[in-house]
Amino acid sequence: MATIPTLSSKERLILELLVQRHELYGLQLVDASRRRLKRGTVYVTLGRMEDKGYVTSRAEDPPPDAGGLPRRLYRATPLGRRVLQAWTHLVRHLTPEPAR
Amino acid sequence: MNAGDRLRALARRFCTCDTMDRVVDPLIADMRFEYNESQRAGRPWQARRRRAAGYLAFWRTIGFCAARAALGSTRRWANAEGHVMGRTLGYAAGIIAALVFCLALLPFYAVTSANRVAPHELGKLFLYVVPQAIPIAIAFGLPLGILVGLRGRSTDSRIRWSVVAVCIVSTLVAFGICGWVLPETNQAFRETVVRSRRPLARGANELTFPELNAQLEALQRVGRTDAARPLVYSYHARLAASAAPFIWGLFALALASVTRRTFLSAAIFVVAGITYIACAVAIINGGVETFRGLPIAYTIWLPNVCFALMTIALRVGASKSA
Repeated sequence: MATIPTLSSKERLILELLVQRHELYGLQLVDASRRRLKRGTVYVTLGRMEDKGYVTSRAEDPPPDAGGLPRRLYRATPLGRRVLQAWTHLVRHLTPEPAR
Repeated sequence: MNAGDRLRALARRFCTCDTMDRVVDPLIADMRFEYNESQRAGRPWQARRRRAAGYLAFWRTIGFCAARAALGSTRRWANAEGHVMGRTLGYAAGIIAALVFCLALLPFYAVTSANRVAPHELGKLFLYVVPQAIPIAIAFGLPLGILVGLRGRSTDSRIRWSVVAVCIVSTLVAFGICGWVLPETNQAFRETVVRSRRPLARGANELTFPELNAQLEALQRVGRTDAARPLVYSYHARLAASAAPFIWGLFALALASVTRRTFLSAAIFVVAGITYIACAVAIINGGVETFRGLPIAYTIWLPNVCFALMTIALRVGASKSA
């Protein structure tokens, strides 16, 4: 039986930011999340999302002053976009409307 | 040297290439970028602050990776060979939990029915008697868990060593509880029941191992062997109870390898265990200095010695029949 893709709140936030801004570094994701993402966990979460196929990454050309270590840029995959869309749709339909 | 070079070299020793490539390197690259940016802008303090934040993030990330790796390897270990280890640990934990509850309930019920205890103190009192029950529950529960978990199947050396490792860890836990936790909870239990305003004098079972050692040495120096006897009982009884999970666990492992009948082997173990504990309790409560010519300290160790001898006999018998 095929497994249903799941999305944690942090993964959802990352996907939302990546869909809005196309391509971001890990640190830019932390800054853009207004402290909802932490530097100590964002790279682990991004690694897990790569395993799930929600995001893809590419290494930038190494800058001369960074000791030959390339920075990594992340972007949402079509699967990640579809999962986010489905999740947002689901949440919108399942959230009870406020009483009038 | 660039910022984070040492951390990267350290991480390279423990992390896989995949973790380095996808987690550690991007983190350090981003930290270097931030640090160099602040340096170029002539803000050394901001650069230092950013580097410190990067180092902190590095350690948090390594912590997460280590926890994930440990969880994964534990799951693989528990699921190996048709979930043998997972099943063994599960049964052992279940039996130990049930035994702890039953064994703690007996003294708790006896004390609360004989003394007037405030209702709000009942929960606290029950917690205080739990450490008394844990060493005995481990000594019985772990071997039973091994017998039921292995179900007489022929196990490879990896499973056998894993069981031995679990026995060692259980013995260390029992040692810690008998030596340090039990005296404190015993004393707290007594003070709660008696409700004395002054602190109660500690008996032999309310002294930690180092305190027992010190008192024994002091009494032996002045030649008061009679006064030292309860301390000797307590010391050896607690040490023997700590060693029991290891020795009895090995016995169960040997028993499981010679018989495929789980019920029979579990019954043999329970009968042997109860008989020896009953003998040990009878000897200790007899308050005698020697038992059939043996000093009481050695007599307390008899159950463990018998189990060790039976283990050796089972191993020798199994190797001969093989």
